[in-house]
Amino acid sequence: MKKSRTLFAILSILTGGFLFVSFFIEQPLIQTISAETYLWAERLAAALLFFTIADTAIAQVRKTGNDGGMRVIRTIGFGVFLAVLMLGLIKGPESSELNRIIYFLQETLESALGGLVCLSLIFAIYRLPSQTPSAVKVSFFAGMLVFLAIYSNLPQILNKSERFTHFIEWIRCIPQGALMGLLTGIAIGGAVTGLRFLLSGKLPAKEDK
Amino acid sequence: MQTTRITAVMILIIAGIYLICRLIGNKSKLANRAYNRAKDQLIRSRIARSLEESAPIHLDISDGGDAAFGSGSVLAAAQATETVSAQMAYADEPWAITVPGGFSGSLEKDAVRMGMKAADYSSSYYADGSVFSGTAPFLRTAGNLTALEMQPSALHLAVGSMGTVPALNDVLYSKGEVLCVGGDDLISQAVAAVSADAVYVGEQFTEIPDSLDHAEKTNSSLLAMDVVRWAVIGAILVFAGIGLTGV
Repeated sequence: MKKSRTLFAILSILTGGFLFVSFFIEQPLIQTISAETYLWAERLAAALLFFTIADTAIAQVRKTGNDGGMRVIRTIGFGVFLAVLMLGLIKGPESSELNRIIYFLQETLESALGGLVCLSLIFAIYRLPSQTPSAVKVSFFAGMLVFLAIYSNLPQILNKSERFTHFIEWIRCIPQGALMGLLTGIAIGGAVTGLRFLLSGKLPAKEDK
Repeated sequence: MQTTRITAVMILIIAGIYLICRLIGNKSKLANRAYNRAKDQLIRSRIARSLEESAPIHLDISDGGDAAFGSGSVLAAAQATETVSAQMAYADEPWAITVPGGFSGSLEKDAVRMGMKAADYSSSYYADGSVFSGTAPFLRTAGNLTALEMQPSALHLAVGSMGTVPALNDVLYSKGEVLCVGGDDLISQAVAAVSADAVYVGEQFTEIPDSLDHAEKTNSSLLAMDVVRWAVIGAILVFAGIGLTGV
């Protein structure tokens, strides 16, 4: 068991290392192998997704008799899965009619939930001052007020000196800088986690224990 | 597919810093900074409460769509899953992990197994590990409620690329349920800042697994990230100062 895990770890490190290096080498053969590896990984992920959906649908059937409250939801869930599967088998996955039905259902539900998001955000801003203060929330609220004032042009009307105008222009650049800083941070975080995964050859937890 | 030479240099620099931190990390006395913040304490207290009061814990993983083959956030989520699985192995109430399927789903299943193994728990009761709850961001929230069987949870920990979904969760989960968000996209971080109980900003999502741990310890990848973080912050401050003074 331990031997197979070691072999798996070595294989993972070699594959990951090769894909990483292939980003920086323009050699056609390496590029072809890299593209094929990605393609097969995508196919594998798609197959995994199908099995996961089928597994979930079967689990819904297994649990249907467990309790009354969830029975209706589970029955509907499994019914929809069966209906879509049957339609897909009859019409074929490329059928425009099938895609239109699924798109219509998904778009309707997502639009309704999107509207709920909008209402939720307005309510969240309203109740923000009454929440337990934290550094993020305080700076978020203070930033919102400051930039609302700046973009209303009120400070520029009150003070028209060149130095103040330069200062306000500088303040207006801060969101752009913060945005770049956050994106850089996210990229660095992803890179460090990826390297940790790649170099340890397993799920990175417990690496330092 | 070709990236620029600057990107290669940046990645190699980060790799170099990481390896140095890996070599000196365990010998140094530097503690894990991502441990004693209010949000870290909140998450740990909710897990402890879950064990005491038999309330379930919910981990929601988002991978930002089918193009993601293990982004940084999905890997961080897998670490978090492993840690929580080890902690909750003997809990009366199960923990629920909802995933968008595919690669991240299988990664989470493996993480659950490894966590259970770490806790010397051999039961096959949680063999499934994680529950598929859909791929579309908004519809997944409804899928999550079904996966949780409408039961309130002590903690909802959402990790990954989720866009405006935290605002929807805020409406759908009941008042006593704590929502913590570690998003790797700017929209989810901004939305979570007003709607979640705790939010991990910027690269902080990578610190979630360590903030879940029982004991504070030195982590070489977080040390490396701190070094790079302070270098970037320093550069931003220097250039902002130049911009202000016009030097």
